[in-house]
Amino acid sequence: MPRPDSAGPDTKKRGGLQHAGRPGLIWSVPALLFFALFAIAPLGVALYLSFTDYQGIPVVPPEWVGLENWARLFDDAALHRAIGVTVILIVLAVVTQVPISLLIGVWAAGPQRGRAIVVTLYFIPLLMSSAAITVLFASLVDPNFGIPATMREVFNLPADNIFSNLLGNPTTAIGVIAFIYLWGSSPLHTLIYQGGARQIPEILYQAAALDGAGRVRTFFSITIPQLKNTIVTSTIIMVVGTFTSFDIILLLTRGGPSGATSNLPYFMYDKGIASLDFGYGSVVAVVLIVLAMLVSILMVKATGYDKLEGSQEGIG
Amino acid sequence: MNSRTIRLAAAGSALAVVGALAGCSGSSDSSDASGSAQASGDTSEASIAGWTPNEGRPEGEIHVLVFSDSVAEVERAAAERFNETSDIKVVIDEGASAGVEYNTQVRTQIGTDSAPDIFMSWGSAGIQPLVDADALLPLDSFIEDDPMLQDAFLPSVFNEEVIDGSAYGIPMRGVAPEFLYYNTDVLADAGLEPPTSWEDFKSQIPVLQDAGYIPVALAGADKWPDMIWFQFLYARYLGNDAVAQGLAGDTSVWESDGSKAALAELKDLVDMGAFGSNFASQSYGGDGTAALLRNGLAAYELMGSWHYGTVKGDAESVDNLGWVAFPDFTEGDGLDGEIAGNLSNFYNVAADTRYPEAVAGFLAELYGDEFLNGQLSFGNVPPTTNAADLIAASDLDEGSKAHATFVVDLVESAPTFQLSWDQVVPASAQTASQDATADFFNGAIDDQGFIDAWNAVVTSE
Repeated sequence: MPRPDSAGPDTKKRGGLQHAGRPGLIWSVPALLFFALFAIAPLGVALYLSFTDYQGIPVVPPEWVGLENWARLFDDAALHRAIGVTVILIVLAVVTQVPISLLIGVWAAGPQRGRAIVVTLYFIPLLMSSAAITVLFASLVDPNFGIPATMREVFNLPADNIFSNLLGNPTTAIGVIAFIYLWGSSPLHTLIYQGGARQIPEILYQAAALDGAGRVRTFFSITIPQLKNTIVTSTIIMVVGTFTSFDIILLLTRGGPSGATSNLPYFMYDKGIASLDFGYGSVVAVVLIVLAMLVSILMVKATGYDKLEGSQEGIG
Repeated sequence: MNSRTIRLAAAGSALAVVGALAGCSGSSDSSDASGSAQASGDTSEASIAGWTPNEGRPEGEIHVLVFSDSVAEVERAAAERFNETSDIKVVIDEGASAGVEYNTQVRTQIGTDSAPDIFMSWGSAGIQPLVDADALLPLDSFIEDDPMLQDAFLPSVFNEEVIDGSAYGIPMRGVAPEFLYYNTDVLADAGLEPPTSWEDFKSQIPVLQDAGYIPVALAGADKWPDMIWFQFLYARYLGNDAVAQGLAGDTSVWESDGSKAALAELKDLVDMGAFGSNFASQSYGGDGTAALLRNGLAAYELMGSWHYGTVKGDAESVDNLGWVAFPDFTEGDGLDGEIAGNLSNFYNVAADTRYPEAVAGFLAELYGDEFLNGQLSFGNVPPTTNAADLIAASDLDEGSKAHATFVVDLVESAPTFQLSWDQVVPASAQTASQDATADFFNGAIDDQGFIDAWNAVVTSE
């Protein structure tokens, strides 16, 4: 309960100080400079390079070729496939990571001591670099010395089974990639949901209990609506993060088998850095940024996240 | 909002950062060649063709960008020896340890003040763009003054980096032909002997399958091991001379009946399960196929001579590993004994080096006994004319000696030695070339699909 005498009368006497405390345009200069230097400027260079023929040798400056690189966009089947792979990975990330993170996050928000220990163990992947995680999984999925070989022995499976060629089969290869992302990044989202769930006022649950709502009903009628903004935040981070995912693919499959796991960032690396075709690589980079921004804006608009509506009006 | 957009843009335009950095540092001026030569106090050097010294480079130093794998130790030792007697010191810069990143480092630095004076390459296709940009120093005048820079090396290796009559590279690592490795215990268990002909080899495959082994280990996840099989089947069906024409852009080679016969034979191998059913999941790195061979799960593997060290690992010796040349065909236009593989690596010199005489002095280390013995100690067979004598006089263990001697004999008796295809095609088509071979093995494309993809690779610029 605010006390009327604590802030109100003082503000007039110390008007100057109050004014100084307000964020002005000048406050944003460091962030803007940082943003301009590391985001806008490289973006501008990428846009410029996309209209040139450049092999990455500074002594041979980029040669202006107009729309030549851009024209290649439309009949490049490998690029279209990469866009498809990117979308599949995003869909897989959302449908696996959101429910799992939400359920575990809400569970972890409970007060019991045992949960803290389990949750701490669950957060361990957050401490590991994704490169280390990938090397670990590369050994695990090795067809002759990893889990597939053990499964074959334990369950007496035929030599040619669904686990025996995990990285060589297009479907299972993308499944393995999605699983590693699930394993590596769902703890972060669980953490976000845990924080969000702890913010839900206890009084809502007490009221629901009085009305005779069970656990499932409470979850869908109280927890999920109260976590709406958390879900949107977490999902946007997830989608944008998956859009730019690259490390695991480079280390585990190099886009294989036959391009089945080559998403847009890997495709960009393949064309730009590995094949030293900086012009076309930059085209892919620009396409990637535009697509990711569009998706991000669409998600913000569609969910009403930009209006910052509160979900706790009338409580407290 | 800001931080999200920053992440987005930063990740999406990593390419551009490289470009921007390269652009910023690429402004050094090295036009005043004659004036610079006088400034360095040595007018005689001004006569070196193609030399445009850059006085912005560090004074009294030549920088060598090493490919930072275990063998780089030999190059560091060479630099120490050189520095004992030279006023101009060799400084070793640690480069990447993966080919793609290393090449990008070289390309984005060259022409700048901080670029290395000496760096490594894998063959002429990789340096062609640098030669076109006049960024590499022709080494002909060095060779005139010190003929051993050329004469010490096998001509078939040295000539790889001779472009339009000028030499640009000095061989500096092992010659690495490819051939069949096998597990002696597995063959004995299946009652087999190493193959004497292609027909013999193919007839062994069902025998090995029945005995419960993977007949041939293949690291298909890494793509390039697939290509080795193409190199040898094409060498047998068409001959390496025709292959070289095809790699130079003659599409009729890939459309020919011999090419289709080679593809049909490869398809047959895959379909009969010669490589097992999960080769596309199998990687080479991280002790992949080497472990299959060492532990007796697979019988054969077609691999380069570096494989001996990989299979041996940290062990003192490897008793159950055998090796034999790729079997000859009774049919096909290829000659008996034609081989493929990696010729060597080469040191190249930046055209704007400040101290060419010191560079020439350091390059002379590359044919010295100490350097070559250092290569041998890592299992690398030097691409030099005296390799056999060096091996005989070395203190290698018996197995390593036998292996190194086999490699020397194989190279010396081969009528032709085709450089690995992915090192021949233009650098911009390298990944496409690896993809095409892997796609064919995976069944993602058929023979016409491979021919189309390959024609695009060899005719790209």
